[in-house]
Amino acid sequence: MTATVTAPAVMRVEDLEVSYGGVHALRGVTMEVRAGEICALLGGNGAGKSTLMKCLTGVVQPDAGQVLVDGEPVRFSSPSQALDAGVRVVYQELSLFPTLSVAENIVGAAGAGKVVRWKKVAAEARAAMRSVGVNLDLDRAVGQLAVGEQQIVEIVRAVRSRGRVLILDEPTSALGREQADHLFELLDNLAAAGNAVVFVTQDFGDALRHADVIRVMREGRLSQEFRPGETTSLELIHAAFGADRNVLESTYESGHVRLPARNDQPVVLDARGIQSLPMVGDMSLTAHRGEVVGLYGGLDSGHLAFAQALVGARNRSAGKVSVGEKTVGANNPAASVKAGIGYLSADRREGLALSHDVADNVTLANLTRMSRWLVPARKEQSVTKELIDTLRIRSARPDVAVDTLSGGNQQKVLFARWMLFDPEVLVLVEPTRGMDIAAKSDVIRIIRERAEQGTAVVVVSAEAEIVLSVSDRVLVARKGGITREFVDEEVSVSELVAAATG
Amino acid sequence: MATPTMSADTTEKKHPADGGRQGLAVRLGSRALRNATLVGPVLLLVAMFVAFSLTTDSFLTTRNLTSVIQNNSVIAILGIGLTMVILLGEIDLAFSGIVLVTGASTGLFFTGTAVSIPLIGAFTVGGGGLVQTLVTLLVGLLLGLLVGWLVGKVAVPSLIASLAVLLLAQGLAVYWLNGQAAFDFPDWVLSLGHGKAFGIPKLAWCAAAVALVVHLLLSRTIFGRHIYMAGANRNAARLSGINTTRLVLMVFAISGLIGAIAGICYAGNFGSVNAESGKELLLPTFAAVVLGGNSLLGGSGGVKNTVVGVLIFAVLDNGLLLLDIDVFLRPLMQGLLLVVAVMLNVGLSRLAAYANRQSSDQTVQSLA
Repeated sequence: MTATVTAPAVMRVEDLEVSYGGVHALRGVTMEVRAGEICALLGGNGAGKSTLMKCLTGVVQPDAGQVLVDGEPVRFSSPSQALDAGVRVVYQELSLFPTLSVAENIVGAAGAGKVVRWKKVAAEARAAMRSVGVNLDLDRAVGQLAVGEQQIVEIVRAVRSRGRVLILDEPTSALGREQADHLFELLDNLAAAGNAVVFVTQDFGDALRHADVIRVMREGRLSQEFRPGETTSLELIHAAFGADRNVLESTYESGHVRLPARNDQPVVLDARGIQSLPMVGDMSLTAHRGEVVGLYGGLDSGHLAFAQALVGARNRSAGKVSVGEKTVGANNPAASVKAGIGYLSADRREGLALSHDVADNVTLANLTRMSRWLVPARKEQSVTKELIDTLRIRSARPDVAVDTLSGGNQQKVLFARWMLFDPEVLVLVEPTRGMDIAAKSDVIRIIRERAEQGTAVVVVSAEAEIVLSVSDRVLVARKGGITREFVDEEVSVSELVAAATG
Repeated sequence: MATPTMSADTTEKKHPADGGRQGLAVRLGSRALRNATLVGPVLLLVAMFVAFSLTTDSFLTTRNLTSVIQNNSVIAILGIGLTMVILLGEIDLAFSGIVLVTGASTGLFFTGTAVSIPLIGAFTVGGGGLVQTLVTLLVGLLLGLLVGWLVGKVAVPSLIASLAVLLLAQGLAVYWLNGQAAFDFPDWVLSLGHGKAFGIPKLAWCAAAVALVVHLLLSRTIFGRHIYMAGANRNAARLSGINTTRLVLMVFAISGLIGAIAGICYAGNFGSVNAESGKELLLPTFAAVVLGGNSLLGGSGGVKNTVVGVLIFAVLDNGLLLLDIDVFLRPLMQGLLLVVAVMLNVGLSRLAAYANRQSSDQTVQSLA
């Protein structure tokens, strides 16, 4: 951390106002971005973080106020003008070319003349990665990399084209803890070299650990500015969300949770000796009726692959899955659903037909149970309406296309699908990814209610706080196996992280 | 946030004069508007219809319109089969080969000519009755099923799988026809191809029946819904427990069956089937399906779109003929109008997406 308060402002925005069709996204934001400083921009969904970022990069033109670079007012009418002024952005939605290699993605057309000199491309890509301290296979197609690795490629690319301001949108949302720490080391180096770094985040821990200054946004206003040494995550939560208390908050506050004693209900899900090479060597997991089992692990611990192999979405080379008395065939999602296993994948877009409406998506797994041949149109509308109300999905109409909803509400549509299905077992992978705390506690509430109705829930996540907040019992995955089980004891976030990395 | 303030803001800011416009956007933003891909094609069709009615004397006559329908019914039937495949996000080229082989077999079976399948053996299916028709339909169904099997089970891209089966079907027909043309057809087939019922060509009745059945299948049944959803996101459907492999098999099989129906109609309509028959149907059928606003990416469109698309293509073709446009200029005009039509489609679907977004913004605001 290299910041001094007197460092010059590279970029400054004054009284920015933006509204979309009558909704005020920004209501007078004034902020400085200083050289050598890492700034965390913290806030919930819809707080205005993304809009502010888009103003800085010329994607959105403010309705009022101005943007200054080196004290001069500028008006970016396009992202390329912002690029020319040295503003670099890494978006959450990755903008890579999946079929091209790592080297090509990093260097792009910039390094080559009219003829591509492959050796030069490789050398430049290698140098760029070394400067950042990462090492990926240059020849692999980016589409084959894990999401975390793709993010690293994106960051290396942004850093390579030297800018003075680097803005990152939720850079750690898809990263494991180790990779996240690594990323922040890299950001420290960049700041030390005189760059201004801004990262948008919903993770209070990241902000407290890694920023020089934390700015909290709420309802389109920059509410407060904090220094990491002089504040707590609780204070930040209150600044971002007001003083509402919830389950999740208490986890953040105390940092540890008391897990209850073992559930004495019958075992519903029994997954034994699951193997799915190369990610999963040998993993077993049981879940009782009405129990929430957390499966925590780092990005490459194999817990995601385990979940996929469990539900038949990924090849399973050994092991047995049974629901109650029934054995479920491998590699067949339809059989798994039929046996009563519901599955939410980490990527929401994998589970949703975005161009179709809420009702279509909610009933996708359920139509054959509701009727034999014909679509039960009226019933479909009414059950969807009910679920929209129960889950508080903010779209409120069954006939609105899912792609017009926010990420959190899209996730709730998926929940609605499986609530309607009423599965024996519900496997949830990263159910709260990319959500703010308010939405996260909503999801946790929904999961708990599900369990109370008798479903055995498996929550697979790399977010320690979430796993601890929602689970009755926690398993820790590491290197393709289960290394530890927490039950009937007091567990803290750091203990959990240590168990997964130690 | 209180609702009144929010909506007041909205009206002032973006629509100073007209608050009602947003109300319209909301209404249009519902299910109806997401079918707005149909609005553009319908407008285009009406425009062309009116234009040709005004500029020519002979367009708007019963005789002309009857012949337009007569000449395009086979394309309509094939287009409807193709629609199911396209909705599923796949491509089917095999239908033009299926038309050829089933058209040919309709004649060969009738005349009692022995046909043989290499490695399996020869057989004759005599007569023009039910059995013969069923075998012809079975040939189409099996060829469709073969495409479906290649796509669904073997995971061959549908473009390639259906191309292979297209060549296979053509090859089979060439082998069966043995350099001859089939021109002896049962009376009922010829009557289907030329006759009228209640003043309307029987072919049109046949196309209408196929259209109605497939329309109901797509819009009312769970099977149809699964086609749409698997077309929009195959993985989502799979993870929701839908057997997508079986879905692919069934859709291609039905498409093959419809191809065989078209083949019988084709034979009746032209009265002669030779090794070159059916090839001319490939592009018009695709053009019609796309012109009608069916998304080639799958998940959006329907039988209505295809019917409108076929009519656009048919009316355009007929109108240019009646306007006495130079024969050598006609293909160019056709091409130009198609380009315009496709652009119009893209523009309108963007507009639909925009209005849809607006309406959902509005909903969110009214809830805020």
